Formats: sequence, C-alpha cells, structure tokens
Amino acid sequence: MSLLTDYDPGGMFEEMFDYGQVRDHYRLLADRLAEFDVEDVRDRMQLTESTFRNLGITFAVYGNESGLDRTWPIDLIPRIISATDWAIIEDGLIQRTRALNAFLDDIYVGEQSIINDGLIPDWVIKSSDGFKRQASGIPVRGAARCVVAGIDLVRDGNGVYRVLEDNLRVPSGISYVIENRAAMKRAFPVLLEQYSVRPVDDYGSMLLRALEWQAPGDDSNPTVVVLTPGVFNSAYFEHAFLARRMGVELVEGRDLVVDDHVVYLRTTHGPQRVDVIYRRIDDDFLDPAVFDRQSVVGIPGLMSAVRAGNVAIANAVGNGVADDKAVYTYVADMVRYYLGEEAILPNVDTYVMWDPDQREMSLGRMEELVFKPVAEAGGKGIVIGRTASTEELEEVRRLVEADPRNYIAQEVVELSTHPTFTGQELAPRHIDLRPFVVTGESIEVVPGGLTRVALREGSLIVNSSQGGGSKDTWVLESG
Amino acid sequence: MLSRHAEGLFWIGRYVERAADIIRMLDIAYDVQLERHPSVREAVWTDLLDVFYLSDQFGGHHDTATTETVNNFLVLDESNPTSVAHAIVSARANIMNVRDVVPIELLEAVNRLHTLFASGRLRTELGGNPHSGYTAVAHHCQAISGAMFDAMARTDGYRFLMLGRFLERAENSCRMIDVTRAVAPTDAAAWRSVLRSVSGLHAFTQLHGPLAEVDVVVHFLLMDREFPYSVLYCLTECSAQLDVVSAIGSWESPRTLGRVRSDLEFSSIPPVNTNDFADFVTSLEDGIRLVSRAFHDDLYQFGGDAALYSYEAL
Repeated sequence: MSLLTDYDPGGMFEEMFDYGQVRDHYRLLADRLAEFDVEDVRDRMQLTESTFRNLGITFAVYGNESGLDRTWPIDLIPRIISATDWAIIEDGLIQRTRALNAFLDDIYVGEQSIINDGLIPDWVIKSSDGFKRQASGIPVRGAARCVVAGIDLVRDGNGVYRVLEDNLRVPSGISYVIENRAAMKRAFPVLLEQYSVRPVDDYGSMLLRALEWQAPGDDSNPTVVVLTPGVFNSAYFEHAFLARRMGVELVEGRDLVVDDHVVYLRTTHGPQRVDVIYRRIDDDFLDPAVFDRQSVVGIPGLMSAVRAGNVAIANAVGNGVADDKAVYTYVADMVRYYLGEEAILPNVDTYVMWDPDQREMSLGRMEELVFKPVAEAGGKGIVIGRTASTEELEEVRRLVEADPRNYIAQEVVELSTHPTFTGQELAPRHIDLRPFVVTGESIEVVPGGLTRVALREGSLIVNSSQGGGSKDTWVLESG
Repeated sequence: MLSRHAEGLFWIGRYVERAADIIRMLDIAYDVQLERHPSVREAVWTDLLDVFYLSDQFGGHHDTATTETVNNFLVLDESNPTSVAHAIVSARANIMNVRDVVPIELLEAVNRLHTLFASGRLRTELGGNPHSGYTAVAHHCQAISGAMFDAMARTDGYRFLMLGRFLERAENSCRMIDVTRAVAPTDAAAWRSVLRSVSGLHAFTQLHGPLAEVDVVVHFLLMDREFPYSVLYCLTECSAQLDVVSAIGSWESPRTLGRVRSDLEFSSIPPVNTNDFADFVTSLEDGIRLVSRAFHDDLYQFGGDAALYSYEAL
C-alpha cells in the first residue's frame, strides 16, 4: 500500500498539500512515494542511520547518559521550497542581515545614532546580556560583524514566512545540512535526479572566503583556524567538519597562545601566527582576562590581540545584543532606519514585558502565548502557555514580574506541518527552517538550510538540543 | 602540525597496534592450549598474562585462567588499561579529538571497530567461537591499517601515526622476547609460538627452515631487517618518521632513539640462556620507554599541556 494513501494532513498549513491536493513542486515526490511502502522507507532509514554512526555524525543532547553518541536524526522525506518562494526568502534574509550588521556596527564603533535618534532606548541596549562593553571601539572589516548568521524562519497558518529569532553569535547546523544532502543522495538518488535541486556543499569555500577577507594585514595567504571548546561540545562534529572543509586547523584554547598581542598556534615546529579565528565559543568564555575568569576553554589575552588589530575573530564579540529577543522587536525599525526599506520578512508578534501595558495584557492571556527568556538559545526556558501546567505558568508569572527585561511573550505560531516518517507511517509534524547567511565582501545565502522537525505529534519544539529531528531542504532551480 | 594533533595521532597508532597485538597473541594462545592436556592448559594463559606483567592484577579479578576469564580480562574489560576494549575505546576517543585531520575512511574504520565492541557483538562472538571473535577484531585492525595506508597523504599526520604504531610494536615484540626468555628460554615450541604471535613463522621458516636453533629465532625477532615485527625493523621505521617530523636540532627523541637503535644494531647478542641476555633485553625495553618519554617532552617543548587521552603505562 502506498505511503500517502492514508495521509491526513491535519489542520495546519501543510507544506505538501493544499486542501488535499498535492502542491505543484511536491508532485514528483508524491509520485515517487506512491511506489514505496513502509519497508522501503524503513530500510533506507536504517542504512542512513548506520552510515551516520560509522561516520560519527552526532549531536550531543546534554543531560542524556548516552547523549555524547546520539546519531544525528534525519527524516528522509525532503522539504521542498519552490524557486519563487526562495527568491523572496533570500532577499529578506540578505536585507535583515545587512540591517543587523549595520545596527551592531552603529552600537560598537558608530555614534549609536539609532539610540540618539530615539528609535531604541539606550537602557534596552545596555541592559542586554549580549551587549559587551569590551567590544566597543573594535572595528570589523566591512562591518561584517555577523560573518555567519542563522535566522530561524517559521511559516504561520497562512503560509507566511516569519522570522522567529536571529542567531548571530555561534549558530550551528550547517554541517548537518550538507550531511543530510549526502544521505539523500544515497537514499533517494532517483528522486534527486528527477528534481533540479540547488547544491549546498560549496559552504566550505564560501565561509573560508568570508573569513580570509577579515584577515588583518595584506598577507595573501592568511592563517585561519576554527576554535572549539572541545570534543564534549554538542556541536563538536560540526566544528571538525568545518575545519576539514576549509582545510584549516581545528584548535582548542590550549593550542593557542598570545604573546605581545599576537596570537600563535602551538605546533610541533614552534609558534605559528594566526590571522583569523572562526570561534565557536561564546563571548563569555573567549578570554578569561576580560570575561569569565573561570573559563578553561578560552585564551588569556585574546581580546588584547583583537583590539590591537593583530587578529580578527568571527563572529565579532558582542553580537548577542542584536539577537536578544527584546531587541528583536526593533529589527523592522532597523531595516527602515539603516536601509530605508520595509522589512521583507515579518517578525512573529511579540510583546516586551518591561512595558506595563504589554505585560498586563500578556499575563492576562498566558494560556494563548509563548514566553521566552531573551538571551537563551536552543529552546532553553521556553514555556508554551497552552500546554504548560498551572504551576509552570505561575513560575513564569513570577519570573516575568521579578525581571521583566529578561522576558518576552509571543503569539503562538502554528508552525506549518510536513509529512514525516514515524517508523510506521507518514504523519504531519511541525517544522521550521534555519537558513545560513554568510557575510564577506558580499552576502551569500546557502540555498535552503536546516529544516528541523518536531518528532512528537503536535509538538512545536523543533530544537535539535531538545531532541528534534531534521530534514534535507531542497531549493529548486528556477525555470 | 598542532602538538595536540600530533599527540592524538601518535596515540591512535599505539592503541590500534595494541589491540591488534593483544588479539593476535590471544589467538595463538587459544590455539596452543586446545592441544594441551587439561592439567596444563591454564599455564598457557598464565604465560600470556605474564607477557603483560598482569598475573597479579588478573588474580584480583578471577580465580582461574581459562579462555573465558582471560577473554573477559584481556579483551572485554574496559577498565583494564591493557585490554583490547580499552585500546579500542581510547583509539576512538583520540580519533574524535583529531577528526579534522584524519581521512573519513580512517575515522569510519575505527568507528566500525568500536561498534563491534560497543554493540556487544564482540562479546557474543567470543562466547561462541573465540577464534572468530579474535578474527573479527584482527580484520577490523587490518581495515584500519588499510585506510591509513591508502587514504593518507605521507605528511606529518601519517608519520605520527606510524611512529605510534611501530613504537608500540617494538615494545610488544621486546616484551614477548623478555617473557619467553624468562619462562622457557630453550623451548623451541615456545619460541615458535612467539613467531606465530607476530605473524612471523612463515617468514622465518622460509628464511631459516623449520629446524633452526633458538638463538636464530631470537636473532630474527630482534634484528631481522625485512621482518616488520622485529625490534630493529620497528625502530628503524620510527627513526624514518621522527627524522622527518622533528624540528631539527631542538628535538631530543631522535637522538634517544638513535642511541637505542645503534645499541641494538651494532651489538652481538648474548646467548639466550644467560644473564647477559636478560640485561640486554631489559636495557632495550628501558631505552624504548625513554624514546616515548622524550617524544612527549619534544611535542610540548614550546609550552602547552599534554592532551588528556593518553595512557602511558602498558
């Protein structure tokens, strides 16, 4: 029996079906699935999983005994985006990234004109955990403070793509985009061939170009490194992956040393100068001399070398102020202010809790809203009103009232659903999309991105660190 | 190359070699004891434990040495630092730490070996037919060697791996010679087992025939220039790698190695059944350990801490 015969798309915006009819760009997939039964998909899933295990493609879920070795979860039913939709998304992402970079540059090396002109209150910026005084006055070439941005998109009940959050510090996931594609090539080669899908595996050179462009001085062959907290970090696989793809060293803090404001690698042949550090360590752990003194993964003196202009680090320090979920509410203003344009991609309706009216309204209808701490990533601390217990809601109310600056409330977005293999059948599961935007001399967007899928029925939590799955994302060539 | 990467690769080399060496020795011991009278079977196993200086430690865990208890101890017991399991787990931990500098083929081969152990399949196989369990590990180790040989450029990374492998192998060959010297210096069958344990019986027989004297066997195990398990061959291989990877002038380990090697190469070996021979072998073993230590110091002479995944003692 075909997999799609009994598929019940449910009541949300469904990516593959439109009122029971297969959407045009999903036609070939539907035809192909009609030839498959459950066993076919199951076999391919098993093959994929054992390949991932042998290749060590993992993502650690903290707090889980066997977490360190969790194989990356992929669902083999691809998510497909038409060329027309993608063109709009791409424009929107580039626009948003330009505005965010302009904002960060204004805050750290500019005149803070957006504050002076009264668009964003000074205290909102200065009270953000992500705002780092230590980054003030440190310029970044081309204002490319977010060399890599991961901007999370969701589709609401009407199919409109909205930005759920910006990740401008150390967004992860690109390696899985590339590995997912490799897996699909093995599992569904015929289908891939039938479609005309834009490739994703050029990312290594895209990123390296952007990083090399940041190199201080005019060395035509600068030394770039990837800085990781180490093998126990959840995204270690990705750190190693990126170093391999770029052909550069993957280093830990202990592999680097700062001498006279210059950063060196400790090699078997003595110190070797470093020009650009693509760091996958949070600001607070970068340099125990100026940030967290307890950090054992950082490099003492690193910030002095950055300030002296002897080494560039990407992403720049202090980007957290722009992905603060309260500052997020001002992004449309930033687009207007810096670019003189209207935002192409709308936000999700969001309420800031320091505003008494918005707070009162939000606390009055907690069951209908989602509450989020402003500075967390990976889905940490999120409470969805309608599924939370009375105790959880009371706890949120207490937290919000104690520290209103630290919370926002958002309207629930009924994330779109996509047919997903449950092991027994295809069923609708909620998905989002994390595209990756790379800023170098120009801004480039990887076609597609990481589609994350909430594996539990009805769940809206797609975060990989909360046990979500993933799908390969196919952006079709136009024409 | 980063010092930390160099160290990681060195230890992958050592651990893979260790797993392969232990498993080969077990396979031969298993084979030998099958033909022994039940009353002396245990001695075959205790002799093997002696090679690793592990009889006391083994006694703390098990009452009698049987195929099953020795397999549990030397193969499956991860907490025993001289076990195949420990070597496999450590090799994998190290390769995860240097995964950005090794080819996918090698990573995959090591992961497959790890899965054989971690999935419980190895335990099942050993419980059924020990020989097929040993063979499974041996085949995986050969696949790993193949990946090193076929998929790696002959750059520093490859050389550090080989350095680890051949240093480990030199130590292992030395240890087998030392123990056989101590327990059965004149027993031709015992020396033949040693030859088999290092895949050398065939090569030896081709060269010297099946009736050669014990001293000829020992000379072969120590000094043969073509046989890849002889101590001299291993040390020569180590030299070849160290000479290329070392920072000229500032590394101590190439000098230490040079001394150990020439002591072996240019001395006449005392007869096996003498104290002089015992001293000779002991000083050779000590020398090899010194090389390992000097190498470590060399890696971090420019500062920095040694990585966390090494286990020096065997």
